[in-house]
Amino acid sequence: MIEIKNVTKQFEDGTVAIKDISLTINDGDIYGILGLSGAGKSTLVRCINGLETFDSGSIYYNGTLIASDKVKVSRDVKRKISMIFQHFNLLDQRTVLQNVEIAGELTHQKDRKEKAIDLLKKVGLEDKLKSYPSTLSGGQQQRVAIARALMNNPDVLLCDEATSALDAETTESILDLLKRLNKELGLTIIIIAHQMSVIESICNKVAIIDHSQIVEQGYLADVFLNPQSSVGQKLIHAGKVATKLDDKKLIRLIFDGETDIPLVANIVQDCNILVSIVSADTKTIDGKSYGHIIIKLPYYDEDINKLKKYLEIKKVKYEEVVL
Amino acid sequence: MIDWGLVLESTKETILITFISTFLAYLVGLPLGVILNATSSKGVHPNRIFNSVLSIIVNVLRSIPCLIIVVLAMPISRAIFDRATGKWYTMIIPLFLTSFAYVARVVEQSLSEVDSGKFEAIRSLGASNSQLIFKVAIPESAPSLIVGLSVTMVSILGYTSFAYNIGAGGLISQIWTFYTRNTGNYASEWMFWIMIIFVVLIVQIVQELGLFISRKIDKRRKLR
Repeated sequence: MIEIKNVTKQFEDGTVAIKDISLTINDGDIYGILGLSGAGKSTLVRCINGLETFDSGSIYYNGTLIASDKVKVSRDVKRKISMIFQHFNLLDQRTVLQNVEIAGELTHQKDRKEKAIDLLKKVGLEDKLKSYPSTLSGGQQQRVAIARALMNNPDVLLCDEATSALDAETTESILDLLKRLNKELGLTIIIIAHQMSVIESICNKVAIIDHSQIVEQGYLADVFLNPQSSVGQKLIHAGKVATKLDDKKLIRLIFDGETDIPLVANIVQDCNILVSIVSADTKTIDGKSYGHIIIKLPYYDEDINKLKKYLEIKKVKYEEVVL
Repeated sequence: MIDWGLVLESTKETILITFISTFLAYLVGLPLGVILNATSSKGVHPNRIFNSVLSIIVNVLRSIPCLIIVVLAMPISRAIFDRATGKWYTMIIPLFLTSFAYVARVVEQSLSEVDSGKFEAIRSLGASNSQLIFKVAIPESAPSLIVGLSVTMVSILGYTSFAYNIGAGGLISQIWTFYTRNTGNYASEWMFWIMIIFVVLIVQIVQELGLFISRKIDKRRKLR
């Protein structure tokens, strides 16, 4: 368990990087930290493993103080809290195998070669042991970095925009790998991203950082369904309603895991209203539907009242969208 | 008339002076460059004051004209070799003193080319500062260090011209001697051109070999 308590950091030029941030990450969590670029999420995570120092506050790991303004993260703790990066940061002059082995070299592990080969098998790169990083694709390089990060049997893996330099398909495969490691090894994972899609496909909890502060945190489903902060709404509904519509009504239907019927088709059939879908963003989490669909209908009070009544009977949450 | 004996003897002297001076210059300059890089703001152990002081010392050493150092080094050569002039090896101490600060800068420059993200990644695995230097900084910049070595060697070769001033021999010194004795017709003498060709050959070999080895050991994808 990692407890971040009231951590504040100012950069040398006086700008506030993170302000009074408190956050608890439990064992086995896949915790997403979401925010726009420059919000301070990267700085926060780098405080956890000592790549950044901070001015006040404290960070506890399994109940022990590991970092404060006076305490520096020890090298033993760093080995338990591993990290992967946006640009992979592999050593170009070492082979894939040597890149993974280096983690064992630092602590003079005797069986480092066997262990490195095992880990490279786990990430699906057993046929690339002798290759050099520059010959690998971005996704393969990140897999090597993940294997390297696992060499010290860490409890926690920090992912600093680890998929931001990858295409959509590769991102998905890396996220699948992380999910698998979380299940198989019980690895606690903290993921920084500026895209909601990354967070929602893997995390169970999420915190949203804006202007150096946490503006929202909690279980993914809660935050995702009903973002309270303006930046949360911006990130979660980003770019999903593109056109401004005159004389039309927009209604957002909210799926909170309870509704699981072909709702839009039923509206057309049961209410006899012609609706069209403006945008839809639903995800299945643990077999339940979450998300929202924005539908458009002609601006007749009669129809709107009919629809509202229907939704109330069906116990579907909704809200009018004001553009 | 070509005095092949003199040409070969001078070539041998030039090579010995250059290689031994370069070796000694790296013996001191390499660690110095590593320290300069490590204590810089982007290094593994930033220390602004220490870095500035060391940097100024290095700059001062680099600013002293070579000829002055040749003179200042005479007591040292005398203490070591029992003589300060007249033999090729009396040129080693002055060239070493002229070059090690230059080497420090060349090494610092190569090390600074290593992306800071690599240090962060290895540091996040629990590496100590010395592990970062020996497992990241030096191996990752090896191709650049090799190019720096060949450039340094060519530059030290150029400095062997000052051997003329203390009669320490070598090709360049002999070319100058030849010129002063044949000011009227040196350009029509083969001896003059042969010695120049030998200097050019040594420069070519050192430079190209450096580039070749650098490319050979570099595992990054070659952009060509």
